[in-house]
Amino acid sequence: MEKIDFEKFKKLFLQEADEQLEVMEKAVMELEENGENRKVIDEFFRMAHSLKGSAGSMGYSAIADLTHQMENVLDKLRNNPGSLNDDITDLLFISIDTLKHLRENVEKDIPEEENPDIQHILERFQDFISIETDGKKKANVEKKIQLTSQELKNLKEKAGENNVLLLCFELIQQQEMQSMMAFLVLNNLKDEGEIVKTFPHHLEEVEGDLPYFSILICTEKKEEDLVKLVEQTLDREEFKVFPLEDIEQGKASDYFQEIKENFSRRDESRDSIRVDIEKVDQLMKLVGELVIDKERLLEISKNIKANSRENSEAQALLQTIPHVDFIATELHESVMDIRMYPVGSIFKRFPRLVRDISKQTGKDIHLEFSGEDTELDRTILQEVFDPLVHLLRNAIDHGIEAPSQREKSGKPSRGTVALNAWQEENNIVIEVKDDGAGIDPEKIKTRALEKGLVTEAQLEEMDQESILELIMEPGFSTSETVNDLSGRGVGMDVVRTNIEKLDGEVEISSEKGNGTSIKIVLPLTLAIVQALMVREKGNDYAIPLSAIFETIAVNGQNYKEVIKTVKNREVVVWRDQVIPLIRLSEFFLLGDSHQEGFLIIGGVKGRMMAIMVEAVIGEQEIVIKSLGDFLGKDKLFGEIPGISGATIKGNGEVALILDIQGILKSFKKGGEAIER
Amino acid sequence: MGQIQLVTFELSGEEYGIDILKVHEIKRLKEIGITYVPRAPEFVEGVINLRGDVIPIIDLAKRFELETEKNEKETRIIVVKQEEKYIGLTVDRVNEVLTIDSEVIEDPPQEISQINSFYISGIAKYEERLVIVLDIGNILSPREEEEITKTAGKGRK
Repeated sequence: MEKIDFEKFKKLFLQEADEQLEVMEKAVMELEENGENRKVIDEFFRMAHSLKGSAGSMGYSAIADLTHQMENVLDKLRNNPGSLNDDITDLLFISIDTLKHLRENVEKDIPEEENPDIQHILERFQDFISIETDGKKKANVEKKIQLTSQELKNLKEKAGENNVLLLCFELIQQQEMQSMMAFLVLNNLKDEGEIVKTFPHHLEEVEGDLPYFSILICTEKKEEDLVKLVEQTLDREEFKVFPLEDIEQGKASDYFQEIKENFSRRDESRDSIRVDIEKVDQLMKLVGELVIDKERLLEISKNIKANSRENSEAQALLQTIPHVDFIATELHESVMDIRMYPVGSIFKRFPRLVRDISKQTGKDIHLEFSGEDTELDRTILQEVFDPLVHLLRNAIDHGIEAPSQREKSGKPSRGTVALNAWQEENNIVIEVKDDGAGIDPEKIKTRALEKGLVTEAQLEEMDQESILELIMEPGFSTSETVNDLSGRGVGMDVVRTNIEKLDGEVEISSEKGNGTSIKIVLPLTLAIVQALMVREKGNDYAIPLSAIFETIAVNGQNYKEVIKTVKNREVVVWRDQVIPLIRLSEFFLLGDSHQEGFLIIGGVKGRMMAIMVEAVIGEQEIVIKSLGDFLGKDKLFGEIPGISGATIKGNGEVALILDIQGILKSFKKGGEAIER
Repeated sequence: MGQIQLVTFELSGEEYGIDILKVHEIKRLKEIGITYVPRAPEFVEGVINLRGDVIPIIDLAKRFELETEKNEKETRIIVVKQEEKYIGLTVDRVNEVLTIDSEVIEDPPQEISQINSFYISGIAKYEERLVIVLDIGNILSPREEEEITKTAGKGRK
C-alpha cells in the first residue's frame, strides 16, 4: 500500500464537499419553493450522508456531527410526509451556511477546537426529531450474482476443499475514499486466497468513484474469518458475502446487471476523472504549438509539391501531411471540448444568492433559467461569474420594484428575473432580464451631465442605446444610497471592463416601466481561432473569421461601383448599407493606400465597416498569443487601437491580430462617423 | 568581496553593460524576421517569435535618443528577462563578458553620458574603460507622455 497523501485526500474532500453543498443548497431552495418532494429529500439525504461519511473518515467531526443530525431530520421528513415547515427550511439553510464555514476552516487548516459552536443548531434539530418518530426500516435488497456456466464449472473444480465466496460491496457512505477502500480490501484479501474475478476488472487500478464492486475469492479460510478481515476496513452493512451455492443456483436476478444499471443511473459523470485545470491548459498550449507546426508543414508541402514530382520520399511526406493536419485539428477540437463547461454550472449558484437578496430588499423574486446546457470555455465561464452576480444584484435592487408598487402599476407583485443563455454563431450570449421598472433615459442624461461624463451637445446626438450605455462609464452610479447590495464599489464599468477583457461585449436594452435586458456576448473560446490572413505594406495581419462577413476584390473595373464618397468620406455600399471605409495603411500610419486590393467587410450588425488591404493570403487556424504584457495603458507599447494580440505564422514569423471592434471604435472616436 | 559579470556592448560609441544574470541570450539581427508594430512608440522595432513566445524588440539607441549608424553585420539583439517577461534590445555591437568587483561600480554622476541618468544604475571604471551599467527595469518602464505625442506627430512613415 502506498503512503496515503493526506493533502491529496483533503483536496479531494474539499472538492466533493463543494459539490455536495451545492446540491444540498439547491435541494433546500427547491423544498422552500415547491414544498415537499420525496425525490429532492432523497437527493439531499444522499449528499448529507456522503458528506458525513467523508468528513468522518477524515476526522472532521463538526461537519460529521452536523450532517449526521441533518440526515436524521431528513429521514424523519421522509417518513412523515407533511411535516416540512419554514422553521426546518430555515434551519437547513443555516446548517448549510455553517457547513460552508466549517469547510472553509478545513481548507485553512483551522483546528477543530476553533470551529464555531454548532451545539445550538444540533439542539434545534433534535427538538424537531424528538417530536415523534416512527420506526424506520431500511429496505434490504437481496442481491445475487450470475456467472456463465463455463465459469461456474471452472469454479466448482477449483472449489474442492476450498471456499468460493463472492463479496459484494456497496459503498455509499464514504464517497471519495471508495477506490482506496476497494484497494485496501482487495490487498487484504489477496493474502487469504486466490482472487478469481473482480468487478470491475482491474479493480486495483480504478480511481475515483467506486460505489459498487465485487470480489470473487477462492480461499481456505472460513466465511466468518473473511468477514472479520474485511470488517477491519469496512462496516458490516457495506458488504455481503455469498457462498458458491447461491451463485450456482443463479436463482436470483443478475446482480451484475443491477450493478451496471446502478452505475449509469447513479451519476452521469460516472466515467469521468478529475483533472487539474492547469494540466488542461498545458495540453492546450502544446496543441497550440502543434497547430503552428502543422501550418508550417502545410506551407512547406506546397513548395515540395511543385518541385519534386519524381521524388518518392517527398511524395510519401506529402501524403502524411494532410493526415497530420487532420489529427491536429481533431486534437484541438477534443481539447477545446474538455475545456467546455455548461453555463448551468454557474447558474446553479444563483438561486441562493437571489433568495438572500430578495429577503434583504423585501422584494418577491422568481428566478428563471433557460439554456443551462449552453457550453462555454471554462476560463471564460469563471470570469463571467462576478459580472453576472453584479447584474443580478442590480436587477433585483434597482430593477424590480417593491411589491406594493408593482401592484399599483398592474404587474404581478412577484417580480421575475431570468437568466438565459444561448449560442449565436461564434458567440455565447448570457442575458440577465427583469420585468422591473426599466431604466429611465432622462435620469441617465441628468446624471451623466451632473458627473460631467458628457456635454449637452453630445447627448443631443446620442441614440437610445448609447444613452443606456452611459451607465457603464466609470464614475456613473444611479444608486442614491450606498447599500450592501449594489453599492459595493463595483459598478457597471467594472462589468464592462471585465467582459471586454474576455473579448466580449455588454449590450443593454430597456423600456421604461417594462424591464431591462443586459446581454453579455462572449466568444466561444479564446485560444485558437480561424482567421483570414491579409497583407499590407509587407506585413501580414490576421483577422478572426468570426468578425468577417465578406471579402470583395477591388480593381480598376469595379472601383467606382463599390467605393463612393459621401461628405468627403469614403464609404462602401454593401447589401444596401452604407458603411465606412477604412484603409489599413492609413489607419496604421503605414503610408499611402492603393486603388486596388481587397475590402474586408466586418464588424457586428449595426456597426459594420470595410477595411481595405493590399492582398488576401488565405484562411488558417491561428493560435492567439497575448500581447497583454506590453499592450495597453501604462505599458511598453501603450494603447494601440486595432491590435488585439499576435500569432505565429507558418514560417515562424509573427503576425499581428486585428481587432475589428477596436478599429471601428477608434475610428468613431476620431469624429469620423459616417451618416447615410 | 562580491564580483559581478557584465555583458558589455557598444551603442553610439559608448560602452554599456548589463548584469549577465538579466541576459537570456544574444541573437544576430539578420537571423530574425521582425514584425513591425504600427502606432507603437518609435523605439519599438517590432515583435519576434522567441520559441513560441511573442516578444518585443526595442531599439536601444532610439530609446536613449542617440544618433547611431547601424552596421547590420554587427548589430545584435540582447534578450533580457525582466519580471518574467522577455524583451530584446538591439545594440551596435556586443563586446565581451566582463568580470569585475562590484565595488568598482559607482553611483552615476549627473551628466556622465549622453543618455538620461534615469536609465543608468552605475558606472564601472575598469582599466581605463568606462562602462555604463544600465538599469533594465527603467529602460522597460512604460512609454512616457512625450513619446506618445512624438509618435502621434510622426505622421506617415
